[in-house]
Amino acid sequence: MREFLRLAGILTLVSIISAWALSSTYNITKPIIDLKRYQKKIEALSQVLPPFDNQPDKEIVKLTTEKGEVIEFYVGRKKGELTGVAFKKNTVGYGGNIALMIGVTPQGKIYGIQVMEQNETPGLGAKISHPNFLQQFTNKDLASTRWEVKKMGGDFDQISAATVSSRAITKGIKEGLNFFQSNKEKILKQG
Amino acid sequence: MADLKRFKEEFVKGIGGENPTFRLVIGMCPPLAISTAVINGFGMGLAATFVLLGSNIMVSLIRNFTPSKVRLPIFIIIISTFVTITDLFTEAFTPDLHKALGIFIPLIVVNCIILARAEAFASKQPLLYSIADGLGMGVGFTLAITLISTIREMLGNGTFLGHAVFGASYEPAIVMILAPGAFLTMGLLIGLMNHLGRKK
Amino acid sequence: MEKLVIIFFSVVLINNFVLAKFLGLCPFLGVSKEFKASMSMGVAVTFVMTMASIVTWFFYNFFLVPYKLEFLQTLVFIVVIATFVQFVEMIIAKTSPPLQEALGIYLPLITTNCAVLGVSLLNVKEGYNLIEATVNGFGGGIGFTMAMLLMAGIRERLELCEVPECMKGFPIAFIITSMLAFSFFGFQGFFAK
Repeated sequence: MREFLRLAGILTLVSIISAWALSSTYNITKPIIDLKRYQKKIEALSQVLPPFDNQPDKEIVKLTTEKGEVIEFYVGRKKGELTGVAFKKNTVGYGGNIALMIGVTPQGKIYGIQVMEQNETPGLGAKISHPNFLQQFTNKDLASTRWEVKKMGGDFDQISAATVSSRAITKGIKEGLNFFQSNKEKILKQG
Repeated sequence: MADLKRFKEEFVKGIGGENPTFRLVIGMCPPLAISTAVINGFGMGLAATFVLLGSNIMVSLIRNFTPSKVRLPIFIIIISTFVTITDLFTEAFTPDLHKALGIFIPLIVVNCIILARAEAFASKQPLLYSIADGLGMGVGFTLAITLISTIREMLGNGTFLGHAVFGASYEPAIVMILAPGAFLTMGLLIGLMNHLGRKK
Repeated sequence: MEKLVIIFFSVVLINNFVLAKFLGLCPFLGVSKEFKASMSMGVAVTFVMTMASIVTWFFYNFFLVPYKLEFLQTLVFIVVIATFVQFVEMIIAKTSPPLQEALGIYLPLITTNCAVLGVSLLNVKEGYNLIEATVNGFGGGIGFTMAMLLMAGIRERLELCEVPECMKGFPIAFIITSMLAFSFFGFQGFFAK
């Protein structure tokens, strides 16, 4: 019994010291980590939204799709006027899920696209993250463009040897635009 | 001085004769998973060395107070403390590296190298030599993973530390930065090390 | 339901724990020399990975999150896993000596198998609910077992071949693994439309 108590006591002592070391480290690093995460989010929003002087990450309109997903629309304003909204859209590519951040003007035109997460093949499908590929979507809207890759009769260039990844992006943006268009009133009014 | 000579011995063995990656063949997950770019591989090596050194030091310091029956749980608690500290610091100060290394930072806690050195060496040897052992193994590991990363990044991406090496007309052998390339590089390198070792 | 099927096939074929994620390599290389041993190890690992996914999920969602202690996940998970494995060992020792004979030495080794801690961390990263996490753990184990059995089959045949001295053992094992990984690449794009 005494042996057991001694062993348990030593383990507890070690755990307490460890817990102290970890919470101290956590308290030092937490503010820095939070700041970095916030900066990253703002940077992503700045890339896809027209110039803004408000805090889009604080002005959010939430909508639910028919499938039950909640989509958050980040509202960008300049001098009080709504200049654009940004939202995340998921689509399925060659290697799994691709997370997009889409920025749209109130007129329904694409302002900017960012790929937030992807698992596509490095050197091939992974090129979808490059500005070279993404900038062709700027200023396009639903009415004036055929939303497919050129190989399949559409208006968009695909990455050579990465048709599946390219089509996935095109499809994802189109679906995102569709959703924005059908709920435009709600978004712009609440925002 | 006998001390210094022994210190040097314990240090050098981790780099050459008992290199954890090429000779002992333990802790193989990070050298294969993280070696797609030299900067990532090197960063991983540094992180693992920090944990190894910290753990060896702590384990050696308390070796006379550690009851044998509960030594494994104590080692695990010590190692995971250092790993969590590394995780938090890299997220705060080098977020790009933290993102590239992903779950492999927390996985350092089950990296066989660290637990093996704690059990086989640091729990039985005085502080000075435990430091030498930890440093040597860490440096050996870092050198190994950096070597593999160099090969994979240069052949698979045409770059070294992000700078193009072969010029624009080089078509990278993408397989090298994918899974099969990792295993292939490792197999060939160990074979080469074996061959060189036998020549002596 | 569809998501569960996708998770399962994805983790067994496309994102195989050993051949694509580089987890669980030490036991994979060490035990895959023999078919029978690989089977025992595979079953043990699958069991531990499934149970670990469940147990760590509970600890994460009912303890770490409510108390905002997510940064302790590495420490808590590994302690939970080590304790669980110890516990299972004791039960097997008391209830089924033949089972202990078969699995005996492999069980304690599994604590340091990166695949077990790895799947627990991945479940948190992907935000899986309990069922998804369990399927992920189970699938991960199945994928691991499959890779081991394939490897064992090849290595047993390899015993009869002439291998250069410097390549014997680990080097040739790695090269075979690279070919296995290559062939599994064919499963990529399985879910693309």
